[in-house]
Formats: sequence, C-alpha cells, structure tokens
Amino acid sequence: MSPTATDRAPGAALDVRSITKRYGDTPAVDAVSLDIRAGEFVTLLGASGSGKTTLLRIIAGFADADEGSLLVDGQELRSVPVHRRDIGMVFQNYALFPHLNVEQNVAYPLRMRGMRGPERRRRVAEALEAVHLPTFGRRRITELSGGQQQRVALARAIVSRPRLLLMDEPLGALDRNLRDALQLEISRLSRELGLTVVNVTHDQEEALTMSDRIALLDRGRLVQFATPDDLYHRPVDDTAAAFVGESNLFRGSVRDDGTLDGADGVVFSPPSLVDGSAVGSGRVAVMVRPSLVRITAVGSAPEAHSRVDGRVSGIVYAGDSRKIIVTTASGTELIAREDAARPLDVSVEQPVTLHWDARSSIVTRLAAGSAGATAPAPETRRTARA
Amino acid sequence: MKTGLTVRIVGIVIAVLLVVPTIVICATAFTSGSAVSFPPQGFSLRWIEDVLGDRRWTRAFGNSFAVGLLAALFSMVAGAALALGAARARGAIASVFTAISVLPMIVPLVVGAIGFYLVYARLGLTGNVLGLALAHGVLGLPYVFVNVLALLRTLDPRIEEAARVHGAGHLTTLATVTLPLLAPATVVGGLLAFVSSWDEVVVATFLSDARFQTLPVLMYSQIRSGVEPSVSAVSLIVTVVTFAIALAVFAVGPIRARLARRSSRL
Repeated sequence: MSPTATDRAPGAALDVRSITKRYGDTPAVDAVSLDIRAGEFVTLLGASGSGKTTLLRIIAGFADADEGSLLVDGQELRSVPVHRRDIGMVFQNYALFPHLNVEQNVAYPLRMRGMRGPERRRRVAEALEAVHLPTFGRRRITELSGGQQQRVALARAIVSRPRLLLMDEPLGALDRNLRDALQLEISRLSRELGLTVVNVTHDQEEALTMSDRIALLDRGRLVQFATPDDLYHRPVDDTAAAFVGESNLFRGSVRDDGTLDGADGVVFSPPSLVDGSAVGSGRVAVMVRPSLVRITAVGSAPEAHSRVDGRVSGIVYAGDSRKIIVTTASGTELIAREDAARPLDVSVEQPVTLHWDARSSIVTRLAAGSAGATAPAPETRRTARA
Repeated sequence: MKTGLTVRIVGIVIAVLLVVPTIVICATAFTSGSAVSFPPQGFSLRWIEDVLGDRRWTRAFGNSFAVGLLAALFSMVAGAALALGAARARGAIASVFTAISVLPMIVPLVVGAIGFYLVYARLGLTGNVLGLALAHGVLGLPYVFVNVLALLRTLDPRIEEAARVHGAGHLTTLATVTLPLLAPATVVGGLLAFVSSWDEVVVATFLSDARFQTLPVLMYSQIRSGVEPSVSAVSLIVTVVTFAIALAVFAVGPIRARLARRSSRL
C-alpha cells in the first residue's frame, strides 16, 4: 500500500482513564491510565495474569470495564458496541474465516462497512500488497503457512484503515525467524500508515523492538509507561527492573557506610550514589545489569567500585556472551555477563568478588507490597539486549 | 497371526449377516419370473419398469421424498438452533436444550408414534406430507444437533470475535461467519435425518392413511398380501437412494472445498 497524504487515515488518540475490571474481588485491571497518542505504537507488556489481555479486550469491547473511561479522540468508546468501534485486530491464532479465501477475508471489514465494487477490490489489493502477498488472493486459508496466515490477518486488520489497531500476541504462534521478520514488517507498516497500535505481548524483546512506548503491567497495576530506553535504563521500581532485561537486584536500606542492610554484605561506593532518601524512602532496590558487572579474585576489586563477595556456582555459554553465576554467602544468585571472546579466568567453586562502577547502579523504589517477595530470581530473566 | 485370523472370520460372519440379505433382496429384483426367488430366474428389468410405471409406487416414492426433504429441513433448522443454544447458553438452560434434542433418540419409537398420532390427529396433521415431515423432523433432530454441537465445541471463539471487531453485529456475524462454518455439519446431519425418514415405518404407519402412503408403508402393506418381485424392485430403489445419500455424506467435505475454490469472487 503506498498511501498518499490524502488517503492516509492516521490513527486516533486513545485515552485510557483509570480503567478497572474485577473478577469477583480481585481486580484483573486496577485503575490503569494510559494516554496513547495518535500514531503511537504502544505495547502492553506483562506476565500472564498481569491484566494486559483483559485491558486489550476491554478496548476491543469484548469485555466491559467496571470503572473508568476510554476516550478515542475525546469520544467515549465504552458505550459503543464492538462492531462500531472502527477497530482492526490481529489475533494470536490468526482467527481467519476458514470458509472464505484470502481476498474474501481481507475484504470482510470493507464489506461490513458497505463498500463494494472496484473501490473494494482496489483496497484489498493494496492491503495484500502491503503484507507482501499480492498474488495470494484466490488461495484458501488452509493452503497457507502460519506466517502467511498472520500476514493475511494483518491485511484484514488494516484494510479499512481503522482508528485503532489492536494486536493480541500477534507473533506468539510463529517461530523465531518468522517472528523477527514480521516484527519489522508490522513496525514499518504501522508507521507508514500512521496507525495507532495497541499490542499485547509477554515477550519483552518484542516489546522493546517494536514499541514507541511500553506499558508494563503487573497483577493488574500499571508499573511504568515509558519508552523502551527509559524502561530499560530508568525503571521506576524493582518490579520494572526485574521484568525488563537481566538484572541483579539488591533490596534493603542503605547505611551510612554504604553497605545495604539485609543484602549480603554488598558495599556501595561511594555511598552517596545510593542514598535512599533520594528516592523518597529508606528502603530501596539497587539494580545492576549483569553486563556492567566485573568479576575478579577476592580482594582485588578497585576501591572506588561497589562490590560483593561470593562463590562461582555456574558458567553458562550463550553465543556471544558468557554468563557467570555467583552465589553470595546468604544464597542469593547474582549474574555477571562477559564477552565470550575474553579468556575465562574463573572456575566453578572459586571465591570471587563482583564489582561495578558506582554509576552502573540504578536505585529505584520498592514496588508497593512487593518487598522483593514476588520478583523472580535474577537468573530466570532473559537478556533483552546483549 | 491367530488373533488376526479370528478377527477376520468374525468380520466376515458379521458382513455376511448384515449385507447378504440386502444383496439377496436386491438381486431378486432382476428376476424374469413372477415369484421372489434366489438365485433369480433369468434376468430382466420388467419388475423395475413395472414399479416405475405404477402410479401407486411412484406416488409413494414422491411422498417419501417430499417428507424426507422437509423433515431434513426441519431437523437442520431446529437442530442447528438448539446446538447453538446448548453451546452458548449457561447452566440449566444448556442442559434443557440438550435434553430436548436427544429425547427423540431415547423415547421408544412406538410410544412416540402414538403420541404423534394423538396430537396430530387433532391438528389435522395426519394423512399429509406436512404432518409426517414434522414428526420425522423431530426424529432426525438429534443427528443434526450432535453433529453441529461437536463442531461448535472445536470452533475457535476468536473467529466470531474477529467478525465482530471488523464490523459485523451479532446477527451479521451469525449469518456471514457462524452459520457458513456450521453448514457442513448441518448438511451431514440433514442427510442422516433424510435417511432416517426415508425408511421409517412405525410413525409413518400411524400418520398415513389410504390416500397418503410413503414407500416403506406401502411396501409393508404389500408384503402382508404376499411377496412379489415388485417389492424387491422397490427395495432395490430404496437401497440405491440410501447409498447415494451415504456417499453424499462422505463427499460433503471435498465438495465444499471445491465450491469455495471456485467461488473466489469478492
């Protein structure tokens, strides 16, 4: 599709205002507010049970919220029935109409809008062109591969130039390579067409790659709504820090001497950098990305560096990098990630010191009620960026 | 080896018991004699021609066909609607839909037949196509219900959501997506309902009269006055029709596939 300035239909702005949805007593979505700008690509990111899918279904209209409002270009959407919301949607398992061929599937939203004849044919052809399937119109859905089906689903979702494009784990059913290719294609297409996109995924890498902004959700609450860069480098609390990217997290109160109360004898140096009062409370979480952590023999860490002692408990190779797992005296597992090209100078069971430049420490507040108890252990997190 | 042989023998015995009588009666239709005998004496089509030229038989054939088609139609409409209800309703209502739909299979046929007779006689629904078609429609309903419900259970609910989000209201979704998807199961159920009506004799006997008879009813009354090769000829015709429909049941899938490929206009 080669949109000209005149027939381009930019997406709408979507204002999600304290949307709450309860199932029984537990809120599935808890007062979530998002100001999504026209043409913005936003991803709802979270583990299962975070409320991301529920929120998407509320926007689509398949479920109604208990409280809050949804404003599309300032107009309340909650009272509008699903089929009048002017939405395009891509589902995880494609959800194509198996009794219709590719063309008929893509034409469906136009047919429902009363468009017929050459205009409809032209728009369908454009949409199929846009997803690189221009010759596939007459094919049956069952003759297509998974990737092709998802392209058809994408064409169907954009053909009517909807005000909102919703995507529910659109790449979840595809294999790695296909996923990467389609990620780029969806990003390109949504920008070219000026679509406002709300995408749902549990895959942080996908979220970081595709989104203008990411809304990180945890147990129904909005943790942080920020650009990928901010989310990665400036997480608002320990939940965000633990979810996005691989991280070493220390929780506790910083003492005057730079040690952290309740945290494995970590020494922060200089202590002023991790002043708890700077983040508004005595108790903080300090995060260090594994790629910024150095590993040396005990006692040889530079004085100016923050450090913690432990014992090497595992060495894992992962392509370009090597992950060294160090267990502290109290049993906490920490990770140092180093270039696999560097010679390995530690061995399993060896006592070592992990150290890092104080400026690599990111201090955040503790999530309300989390106290670290629910955050997954560092070694279970995947690396988002090498 | 030994079990293989046993299975084969049992299979052959069952096949002989089930299939041979049908083959025998059909073969006797080609006799050139005037008595039903096996093996048939000589070969001729005179009994078949005889039957096809006899107004009583052709009218009964027409009645059976009309009743079967209408009954299949009733079964398809009611069975598909009840299956949708059973799949979509919650709790007790879903159970009620299911109970209604499988009841015709459970009620003893002769009891049902008397019931139909008592009620339909008051409504003027005996001795005509409509009354018997309604009764057979009820008997055929479970075939459609079971088939459609099985398909509904495997249908991805997101396909209907996709229709709604892309602009179709509830009724439009039903008409453009749900019903077309249920069509193959509905048609297969309808064909089975037709077959069950086609050879149904108990209810048909109660709801027929001297001027309105279906094939099985007429055959039954003919046999009581002595077996003639004309009955064999009718048996042959009835069997051929049933087989043709059974083949159609198997063909529904492939035919739909070919139609869908051909109707690729927008």
